[in-house]
Amino acid sequence: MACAFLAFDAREALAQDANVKAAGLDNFKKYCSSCHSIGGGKLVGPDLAGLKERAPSRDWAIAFTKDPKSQNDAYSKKIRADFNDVMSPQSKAAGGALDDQTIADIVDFIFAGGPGLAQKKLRTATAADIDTGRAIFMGEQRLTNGGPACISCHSIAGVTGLGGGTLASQVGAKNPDLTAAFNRNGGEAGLRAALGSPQFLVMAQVYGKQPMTEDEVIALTAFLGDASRKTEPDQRSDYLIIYGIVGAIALLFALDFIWIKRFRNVRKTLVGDQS
Amino acid sequence: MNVRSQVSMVFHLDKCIGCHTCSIACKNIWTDRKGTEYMWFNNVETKPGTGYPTQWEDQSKYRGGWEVSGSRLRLKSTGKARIITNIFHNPHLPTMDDYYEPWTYKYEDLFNAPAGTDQPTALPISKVTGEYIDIKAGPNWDDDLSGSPIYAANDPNLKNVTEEQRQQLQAIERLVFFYFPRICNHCLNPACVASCPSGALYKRGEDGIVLINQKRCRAWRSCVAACPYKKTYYNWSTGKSEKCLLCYPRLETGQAPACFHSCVGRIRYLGVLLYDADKIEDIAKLPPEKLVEGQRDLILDPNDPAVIEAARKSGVHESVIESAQRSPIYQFVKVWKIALPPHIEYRTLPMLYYVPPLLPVLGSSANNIYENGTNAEAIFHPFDETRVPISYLASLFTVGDEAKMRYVLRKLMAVRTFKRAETVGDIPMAVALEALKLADTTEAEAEEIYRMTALPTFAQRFVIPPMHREEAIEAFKDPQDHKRAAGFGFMDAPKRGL
Repeated sequence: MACAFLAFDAREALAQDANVKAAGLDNFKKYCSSCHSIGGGKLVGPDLAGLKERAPSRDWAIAFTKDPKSQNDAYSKKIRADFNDVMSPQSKAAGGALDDQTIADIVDFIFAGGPGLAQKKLRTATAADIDTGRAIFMGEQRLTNGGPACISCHSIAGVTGLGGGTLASQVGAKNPDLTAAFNRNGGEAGLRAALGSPQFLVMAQVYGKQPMTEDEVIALTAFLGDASRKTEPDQRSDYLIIYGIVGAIALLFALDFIWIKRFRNVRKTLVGDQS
Repeated sequence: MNVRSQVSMVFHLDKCIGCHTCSIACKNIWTDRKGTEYMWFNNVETKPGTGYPTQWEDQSKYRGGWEVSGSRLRLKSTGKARIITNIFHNPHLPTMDDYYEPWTYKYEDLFNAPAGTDQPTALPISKVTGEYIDIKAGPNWDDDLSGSPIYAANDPNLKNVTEEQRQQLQAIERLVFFYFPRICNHCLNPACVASCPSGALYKRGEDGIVLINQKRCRAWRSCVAACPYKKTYYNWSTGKSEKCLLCYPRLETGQAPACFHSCVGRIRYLGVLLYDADKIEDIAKLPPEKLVEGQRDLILDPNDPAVIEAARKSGVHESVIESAQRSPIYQFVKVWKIALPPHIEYRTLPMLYYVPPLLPVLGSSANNIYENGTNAEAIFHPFDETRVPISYLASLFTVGDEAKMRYVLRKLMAVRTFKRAETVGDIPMAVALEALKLADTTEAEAEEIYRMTALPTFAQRFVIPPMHREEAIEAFKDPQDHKRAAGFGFMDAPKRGL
């Protein structure tokens, strides 16, 4: 009940701003805030504060949001180049499917300077967070809201034995290895935002229902950051085959030894070479 | 008392000449099809020897038969829980090499060979691969102690034979062997039936013949492992196991099984026995030294009014009871006590009995007169000087009990002595009568044994009970209707469609 009242209060405040619809805030939080801030600095994507002044027009902003590749003016090219051609997961280029009204609401909300959008300042990571992050990644420590451990689908340098999971590569991620994820996703701020409300195809489904807590996000980001500074990604996928072959041979020898008294033949042993 | 009838057999080993006619008769009828080339429902082994498959008597290798575990009887090879670990592979199965790789000869080469300076030759080719093979083993490779001395020396029955006797067995001019023809024993407590996970094996209620239902067999091959006599075989072509069926189609029409019918030495006897089915489990669990008597106790006197009454009550047909009263098997096993089951320690209660061979003893010659035995004055020849040691025969037939084997041999010898005194007269009759007394027999019994051994007619050797198929069919449908549609038997009547 309390939450419903709070949400109601927030809408009341927004309704006073004639240009901004309440849907804008909801949709921005839902679809955009993991990569973008408004006045909070660069994350994975650019800080959208002052977009109204920078953007050529409202129509351009709507079209660019919908499909960044559709625009070929100098400003569009610059943005694409600055952010390594990474397409927003919600854009048409990356398979997103937001309808025009939703995009228009979001753009209006951004142009209005993001009223009611709280800028959360997360605490600084400590050395202990790296260890906690590692435990979370490996699944040694459960996530508070019950989400699955990272290693189920991802790997990272420094994971011993058979390495981590490779499922992530099965559902569209270019690389299940997260060693370089820290740098790929815009450093600490970007990764924290990305983990806070992940927009990746599968992770959005999984962690949308069971989000990670703030401390968990900080710890994981610290761990991934530490991993990116320490090591190069391994070619872990080879290990599975090698371990598999070696293991199978070892198992065959073990079985041969366990059943060493098994029935083999009678006549051949009896007669030997004298048959 | 739960009286049942069982078609049983006696093989008289003293009469077997090892001609393999029985094996060939059987082969030509039953196992000349693809996939059955290696099967010999009937085979004749030379003893001492390792038999077919090699060393089948060594259950530490093949794990056939039953063992007593606590108060329970359990299969050595498998069990409800144990089968799970072997579900994809049945261990302890004889390999093809333990049977032999069946072969034929390339006879067409004899006709197609180009003209040359020498006779053309038909080379052996494998019936499994179709390639030329170098024959290394066969079903009777050690026939008449041939092949290699290894086979005879590794007979499992030699385990209780002393080293000295073993040496003597192989000594030149002392070599001795006898023949041991084998078919399925149609046991009262068949391990093959108990082991089948598909329930494909069954023992016919009316005559005790053990059969494999070819429609239900699922190729588990548990029966092959479980049968201690290795008398079920896997047909690799049909994917079903097969075994001796005691020529039941012949029995049902009043004929002796092919191997019996064709026997040159007339060693085979067949007849029905009545037994108490309630006692089977208790008898099969007896300690080894009581098994021989136990199995004999299981067989009931078909002339006892109480037995006849009980037999009628459990549905044994009057004509079968009458047949049991004339059964030569009953005489050999129960009355004369000279026929013994092979390897009863496997606890399957085999219903094929053997009259052990009265083998030649050491001879000695003085003044050009050949005498049996070294001590010419002795009434019995000294059994301990027999060329095949008593301990060897005891291992085959009496779970190693030499006294029981001596009893049988003594009686056989007494009959021989008595008849010799009567017909040849070179042994004083007083000595012969003394011999009969010592052998626990009488003149009348000796005469009967002699007649059934030496002079039996066809009808005396094979007392085949009427099979009463109509009674078995009655359980399912009107026998008259069935007869008109398919004849007697369980063959399916022709049906329209596929």
